[in-house]
Amino acid sequence: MVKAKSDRPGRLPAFDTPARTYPEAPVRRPVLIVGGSHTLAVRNGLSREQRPHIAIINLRQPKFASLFDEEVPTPALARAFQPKGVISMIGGNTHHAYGLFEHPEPYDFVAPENSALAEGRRTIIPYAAMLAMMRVSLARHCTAISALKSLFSCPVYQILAPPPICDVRFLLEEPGTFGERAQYGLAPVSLRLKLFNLQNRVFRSHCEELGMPVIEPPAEALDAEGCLLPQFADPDGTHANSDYGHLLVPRILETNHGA
Amino acid sequence: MAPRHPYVGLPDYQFWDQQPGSEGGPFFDPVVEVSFGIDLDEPVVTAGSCFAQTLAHALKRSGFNLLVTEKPHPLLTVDLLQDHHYGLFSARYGNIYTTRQLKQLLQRAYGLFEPRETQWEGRSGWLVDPFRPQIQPDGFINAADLEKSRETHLAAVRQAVEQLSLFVFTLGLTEAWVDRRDGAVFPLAPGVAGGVYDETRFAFVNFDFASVVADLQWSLDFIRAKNPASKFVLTVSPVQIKATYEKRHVSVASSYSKSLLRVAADAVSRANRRCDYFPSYEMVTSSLSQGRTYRGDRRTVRGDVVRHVISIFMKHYAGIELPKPANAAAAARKGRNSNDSGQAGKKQRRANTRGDKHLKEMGEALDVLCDEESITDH
Repeated sequence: MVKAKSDRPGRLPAFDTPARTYPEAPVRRPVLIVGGSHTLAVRNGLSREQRPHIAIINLRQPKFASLFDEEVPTPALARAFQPKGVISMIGGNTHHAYGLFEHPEPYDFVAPENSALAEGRRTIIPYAAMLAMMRVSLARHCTAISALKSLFSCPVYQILAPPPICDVRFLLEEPGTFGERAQYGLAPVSLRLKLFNLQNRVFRSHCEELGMPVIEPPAEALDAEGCLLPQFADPDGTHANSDYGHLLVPRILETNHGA
Repeated sequence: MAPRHPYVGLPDYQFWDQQPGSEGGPFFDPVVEVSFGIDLDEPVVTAGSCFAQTLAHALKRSGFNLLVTEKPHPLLTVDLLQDHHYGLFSARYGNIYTTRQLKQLLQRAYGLFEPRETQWEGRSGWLVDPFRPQIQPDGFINAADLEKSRETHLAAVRQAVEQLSLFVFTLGLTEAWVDRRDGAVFPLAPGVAGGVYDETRFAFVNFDFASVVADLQWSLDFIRAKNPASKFVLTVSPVQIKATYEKRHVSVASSYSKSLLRVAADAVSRANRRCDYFPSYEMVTSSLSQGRTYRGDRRTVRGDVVRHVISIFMKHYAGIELPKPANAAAAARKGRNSNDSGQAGKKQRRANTRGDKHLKEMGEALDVLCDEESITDH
């Protein structure tokens, strides 16, 4: 079992800048990234030279509260930033909520990319029901993405979250914040991947409606099954690390057409 | 001394002018006797047409133990369940309009019949189950998804058959579409909610009396063979048919269909022990109801009338008296004192449908999905 490590040198403390009062003079970094916890991988993956080009806003941070209304971007965000490209990293961990650990009533579903079902006694949920549920779960994120898109006239992109980490058995020994939720064991990898793809389906579909291009997880960070390679995994078992973020940065900067 | 003629001394309910129903306005009670009782905790399975959905919902709200064997996974939130047909019936079979459909569902559940037609392409490009084409929005993502769902579903049907104490079946239609190759009967014509209409493969059928009775009797016998203690209540849907393929006026086709089903239900109930005909059809369609039992579309049944039907069911089978609908007495008085189509009648009807909170809630709750609604002329 390999416990994933985040060992990128020069890792920054998480969002330690002092609280700001907006509006103030617009921040003129070429690329603005708005999202939740997955922004941390990018933040920690930036080289010293890259940092001046990218502003990162974690919508969960209290110091940015004046730019959001219950995590939905408001016009204050557009007044505070004048980027040439905007990246949404909104949402992305809902698939873990569904299936990092086994549900007390284990389940599985047939997915378009994988019809095989995991072993054991499971309730088989129709794909349409799973998709409907995922849409419900992601509705607030989709609302936030729509709001972000509407605020900026420059191109707005969505970065899909990193995929599940295949081997997270260490979470059973050290469940940490997951506590009793880990008591039923880990969900099968096949189910976790299906849930990840289901989540992406909803985001892709929503972004397509909005005319927003989607940036996929870097292929070099994935194993043959589509899981996140251990060297790109954060120790918490649900996020990617700075090396993964570092892989994303060139793609992010491309959204600014080389700025 | 012998009576002057055979009708002397018969009970009031056998005379139109004396039957107690005429006092109750639209809410009359035509049930004279039942052949068994039901405890509220006895598992009840319902199946049939759209009206069966309505009955199932009302039975559940009234405290009956509606057996649900195809349960949703706890992940699914309540507001998704109706769209995906969880809990509307005991299993997700959708509406079963014809007695042949019921027979074939039982046969399929127990491996006695495997229809050739297994999947249709739906409007969204996903697949639909030809035997429950609207069981969930969009259908199934692929054949494996459909097949797994069908396995789960048919297992739930078997469970329902073997665990039920009472089976309530509502006969809805005589018209249907069948596969010419093996006689598989579909709840909706191919092309309406999936599939492609192909005259060479599919045929229209209007089941005759003998077929309806034979299929219903087969189903009853089959369920009893699996579950000897089972009791049966047969009803006929008072919901008029949405469309007919017969070259005749839809009202004539509807009358024919309902008449045939009504007689068939009677024939089967008379021929079997612990099998009653329950006259919800009459409670809605009889002229004793003074034409006040349908909604504005003159096809679907009003919520307060459904509630009354259930109250009569509870009274006779469970021995529980529910309060009469609030406006029953007033409606009856108005009905006697004013022209049915006059202003007073209209005002009363508006009051009946507007004021009662329960009525409003029932109306919303009874907004059931009906496959037949999908049939249009285009």
